[in-house]
Formats: sequence, C-alpha cells, structure tokens
Amino acid sequence: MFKKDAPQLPATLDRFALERRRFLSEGALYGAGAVSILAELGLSRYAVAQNGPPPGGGRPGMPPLPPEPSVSQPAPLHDLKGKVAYVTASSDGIGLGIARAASNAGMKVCIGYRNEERLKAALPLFKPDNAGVFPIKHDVTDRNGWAQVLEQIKNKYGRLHLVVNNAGSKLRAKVSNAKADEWDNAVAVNYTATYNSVAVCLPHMLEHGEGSHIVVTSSMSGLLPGGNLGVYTATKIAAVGLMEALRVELEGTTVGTSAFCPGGVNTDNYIGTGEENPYRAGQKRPPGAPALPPGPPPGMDPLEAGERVMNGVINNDLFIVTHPEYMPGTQQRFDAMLASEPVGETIPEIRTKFETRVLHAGIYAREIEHRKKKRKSFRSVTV
Amino acid sequence: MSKKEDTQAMHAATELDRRQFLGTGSLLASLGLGSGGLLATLGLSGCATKPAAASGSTGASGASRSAGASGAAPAAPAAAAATAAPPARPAPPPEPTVAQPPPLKDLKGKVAYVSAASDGIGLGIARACSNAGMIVVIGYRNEERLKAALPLFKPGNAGVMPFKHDVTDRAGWTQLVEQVKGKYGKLHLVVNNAGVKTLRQASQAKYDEWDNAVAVNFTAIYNSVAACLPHMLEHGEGGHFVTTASMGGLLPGVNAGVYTSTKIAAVGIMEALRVELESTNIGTSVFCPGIVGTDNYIGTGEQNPYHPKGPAGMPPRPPGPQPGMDPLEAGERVLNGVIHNDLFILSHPEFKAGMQERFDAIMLSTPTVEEPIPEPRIAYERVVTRCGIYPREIEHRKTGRASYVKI
Repeated sequence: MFKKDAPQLPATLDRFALERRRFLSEGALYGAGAVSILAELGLSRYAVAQNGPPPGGGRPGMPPLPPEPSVSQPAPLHDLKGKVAYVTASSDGIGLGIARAASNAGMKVCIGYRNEERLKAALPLFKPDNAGVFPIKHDVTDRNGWAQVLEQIKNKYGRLHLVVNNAGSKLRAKVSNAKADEWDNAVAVNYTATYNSVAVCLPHMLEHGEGSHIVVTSSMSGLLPGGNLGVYTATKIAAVGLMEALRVELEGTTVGTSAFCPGGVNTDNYIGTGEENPYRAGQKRPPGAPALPPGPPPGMDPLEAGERVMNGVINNDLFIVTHPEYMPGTQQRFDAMLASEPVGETIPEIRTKFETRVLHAGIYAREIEHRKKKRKSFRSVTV
Repeated sequence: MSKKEDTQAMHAATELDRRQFLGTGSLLASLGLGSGGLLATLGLSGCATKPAAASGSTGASGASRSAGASGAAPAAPAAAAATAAPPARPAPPPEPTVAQPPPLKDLKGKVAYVSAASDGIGLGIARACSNAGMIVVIGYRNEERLKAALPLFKPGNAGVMPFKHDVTDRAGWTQLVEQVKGKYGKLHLVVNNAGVKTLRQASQAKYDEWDNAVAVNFTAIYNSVAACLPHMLEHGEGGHFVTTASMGGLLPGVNAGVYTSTKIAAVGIMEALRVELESTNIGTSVFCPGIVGTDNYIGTGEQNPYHPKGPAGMPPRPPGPQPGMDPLEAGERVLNGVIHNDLFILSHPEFKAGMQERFDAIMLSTPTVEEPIPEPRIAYERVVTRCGIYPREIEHRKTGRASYVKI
C-alpha cells in the first residue's frame, strides 16, 4: 500500500504530478478519479499498472484500484513487556492511570509532567520495584520539547514504542464566547499536540521497526458533544478524527493507532478540584445542591481506565470506548447525520465512478470485522 | 467482487444493515429500528428510540435527553438508574421539544458574507445567494480570480461587494464586520467556505502545512464567530453560520489526514455551535459535499492541466458531462440548508453506506453486555449521555420535504 516506486514524470509536470503520484502509487486519494484524469490528458502511461483483473467501480478500461487489505491492521504492540511508553500529562488523572497500567504491564514508562508537586505525589503509586519510571518535564505544545523528549528517551532506553497523547485542556468554554487565546490553547493542546507527537516520534518508530502505537486520550465528547462546552467538544472531536486519519495513513506500517474516548473517570477534572470537589473530606454541600449519590465518586477508576487503554493497544482497537451509557446518544448523532442525506435523488453514475476510492474508507469495514471477533471487552493487563 | 457487494454481504451477515432503513423513502417509516438492532447487539436495546415514541403526536421524542435517559425505556440500565439514584448534579435545564426554527427563512435583501468566493464552491454559494436576492460580500485573495468571477453575477444586482480577506487574520474579520455594517447596516449570513486544498498526510505534513490547515479549516470558523456573532445577536434579525466542510469530514476516505482531520474538526465545531446557539436566533449548518466541479479536484492554477499556463501540450478539456456537481447547484443546496436550518447539509447520497460503516465501527467498539454499567455513574452523567440536538434534528428531517429545491 505504501509503494515508493512512483513513476518518474517530466520536470514540467512535477507540481501536477505531486498529488497524482501519491494516490497512484500509494493507494491514496481518488484512485479511479486520478486514472480518469490521466486518461483524459492522454497520460495513461503514467498510471501505475496493476496486476490482476480490475474490481468493480472505476471507469471501464482503466487500471483497477490498488488492492485493499482484507483484515484490519494486526496489533503492532501486542506484547507490552519491556517496551517503552511515553504518557503525556501523567502526573495525575487519567494519564497517571494509563502510566500505572503501562508500568504494571511491564513497560518502561516515561511520565510527562509539568507540575513538580503532582509528580511527587504520583511517583509512590508505581510499583516500588519498577525501575523503569522516568519523569520528563514537557509542555506538549512545544515542538522542540517533543524532539528533546524523544532524544532523552532514546538515550535512556534506546527505543520508544508507545506514545499516549493524554494531555488535554480542561477549559470549559463555549466556542461562542471563548477568548482567542483560550481557543488557540485548546486547539494546541487537544489537537495539534497529537500531530506534534506524530511528526517527532513516528519517524523513530518506523525506523526501529518494532511494533509501535500512538494513542490519543479524547473523550466521549469526541463522539457525542453533549456538554455545552464547545471548545472542549470541538477539539476532542478533532482529536478522534486525527486518529482515524492516521489509521488510514499508517495501516500498512508497524504503527498502530487508537482514540480513547472515556466518559466519567474519577479525576480532579471530573469531580472538581480543591474546594469544588464535593467528595473532599469535610466538604459542605452548597445550600440547595442535590445530594450526592452514596458511596465513592461515581466515575471509573483511573487505573481501570488505563488498563482499558492498554487493552485497546494490545488489540489495536481504533476506538477505545469504555462507557456504554453514552452510545444510544451517540447513535442518535449518527442517525441525524445519515438522515441528512438527500433521498429520492438520482445519483449521476459518472460522479460515483469518479468518487469510487472515497465512497468507503476500508478501515471501518475492517474494524467492524475486528470487533466481531469474540473477546472480552476488558481484561487486566497487569503482569 | 466490488467494495459495495463486500459491504452488503457483511452487513447482511451481521444484521447491521441499517442502510435499508436509511434508504430511499424508508427512513420515515422505520427510523429507530436500525439503531434498535445495533443497540440490541450491545445489550442496550432499551435505550433505542422506539418508533412509536419517535413519531409521537406532540413531537415528544424531541424531549429526548430527559425522556431518553430517565423514563422512556423500562428495561434499560440507564433508565433504572436515573430513577433510583438522586441526581448528583443539578437537573438539566428544560430542553426544547423541536429543532431550532430557521432564523434565516427569508433570504431576500439579507446580507451574506462568503469567504473564498472568487471561485469554486464559494463562488457557487455566492452566486446562489445573489440569485436568491441577497446582498453578497465576496471574500477573495486573488484579484485575477475575482475579476473572472464578477461577470457571473446577475448584471442588475448591485449588491455584490468584494472584500479582500485572509480568514486566518482576526483583525481582518473585525474589519469585515465594520465595513459590512458601514455599507449595508447588518450582516446575516456567514459562510466559512475558505479551505486549504492541499491534500497531505498528517503523518508527513510539515509544521507549517499542518498549522495552516488547522488555521484555515478549523480556527477560521472560531474567528468568524468571535467577530460576527456579537453583531448578529445585537441586530436581532436572525443570522446563520455555515461551514463548508467536506464528505471527508464525515467519512475520511481520502488518504490525506491533514485535510480529513481538519474537516472532521470543522463538522465538530458546527455541532458544538448548534448546542450553544440553539436557543438564540442564530442558525448553524455544516455543508459536507462530495465532489463538486471545481478547480480543486483537478488542480488549481497552473497545476490545473487545463489552465492556459499549465503544462504544455495538454489536450482540450473533454466535452460531455463532468463528474462533479455544478458549483451553483452546490450553492443552492447550501441555501436550502440555510432556510431550513439543517445542521448537516449533505448533497452526495452515494456516501451513505460508507458513513454507516464508520458509525457502526464506532458503535461496535462499545464494551459488551457482560459489563454492567454502574448506576451512580449513569445518574451522574445524565446531563451529557444524550445530546438533544440530534433527536431534534432527526425529527426535523422527518418532514418529508424535497431534499433540494431550486431557489
């Protein structure tokens, strides 16, 4: 799928060829459409010859679409033991849960942090005999910082196998009243930081060739924007989309991809920090506030959330979903989208032929197959 | 075997075939059944919208969030919990029962701003606005293209005002609002149409390519809201925001992650804005077209093989029907969406099956039935486990209107 033997074109056609080459040689973009364009230009000789009979779709007489994988990408990081993980913002919250789960599973864990205090409180939670915990101070929006992080990890452990983009902006603002710097910061942390991690770490992962994996901690808000917190939900939706895009791009490589979309997890973010935390010892409920449900805070334990992430990694699940109670609402979102398609209109055949390559994204059909395999949705990964 | 046949076989085999109920004409009759089937496989069948409830005479399925989460489904764990445990958060505010009425029903004499409207889909939208009797402000960056575009507007229409504008420039947005206010008094419709056309992989993009795509395809929408929304709320005549995303924003089939992920983001921000602005007189829509007959799909400027200054020796553009949708038709479909306040303006139904696959892949990623859902958690999360805009949008789509009427 990622053949690099692209046909050489005359220099005058270079710019034109740039896009075309990619989808002709790498199975990208409008495969059938590209072929048609080249044919119309009398340039069919530049189309990549394919073996075997043409599949359906595409214009008759044109080279067929590039072959698609028949199964979902095999899990590149199915064995965690001894591998090296970097979890951003893992001095507390979900990140700490993920880092602890990774450590419990026998990984060497690099802990991204910004706050020394929180780091100090977090370190004792790792197994005392686990020598592989390595704190790294890091702001995920700092691209030079990413390069330095990778260097440090390479120097210490030689290789990096798992990157968990867990840092997230907790900003609860509306798109319609956020200040410009609030918006920019949320986009930088919740969305672009994941791109940063890929830009810096992917070449290293591809180079060492051992199975690797990239995770982003999004949110159920990335699948169902239910809270009235547009900056948060829009950037979390973006983060999910980025991981889907990366699956399309990296499916043929040794790097897996997952988007983690949890509902409530018992973190400061979820139940409030400091005096906002209704579960804080001695905390008085404000007058008129409804009673708390009995028992501990109602969310998922962060360590369990972390173990579920590891489950997703070793299975290479594209979507790591943990809170089924959101799914009926999510289904409504999808139904609203599908119900918005025009009905009763004739679809021009010439158009669908041109669009053949993009009418489906094969990753989803393969992910459905992958999910049809019988397995428990959660098992402990602690060794 | 074709991709389509593959898919059909797969769906039949797994009883996930919801394309059938979403197919032509059958949507209204059986909406909810498909979700029911899928949810049943997840052990959540009690949470599915019942067809009877969904078509209730009072439009009550729109009562959605509270009804769906707390009462409608006796067998559902969600329902059981919500009635058993006291709420841990204040009860959600009352929800509207129907989708937000279209704030911009009557286009005539209203003022539209369309970014990047000197060619392509933007030009189609601007022309459609003009044909519908709107005053149109044309955002452009390239004088040449603007010059070529202007004659395409009806000669008698004096209401076309070009505005040179880079959508990533926040000061420029403020100037736009000032100029429009100075010249026409009010701005009613903002179409965020500018988009980066570079199809790059997210895993290969350079920093500046990524940053530019995010700035143009995603943050520019925020910029437009920050600059225009206060004015639109203030004049009170009703307004509307549209973003031109792409089918790539709902189905990232193109192997070009910079493009698809920023388009997915653009869809997400419009959904977030609908949640936020639903109770105001500002509507929101995201336009997700498949291919439209623009320079974009065959290359722009000198990259376009048909361009006079393009590569030498090109044959003339072949006659006959071109594969893409006519940009003017695309523009008219956008205005159809505006006057109905459709949250999702879709124009290319051939993508439906592929979208369905994406959604099914997500739904099937849910933990399976053997895991009970803790009841206090459900109660605590009640506010966010549903989002009322979607059931209301489904109801809104059940009106049986034609999906496209020429304006």
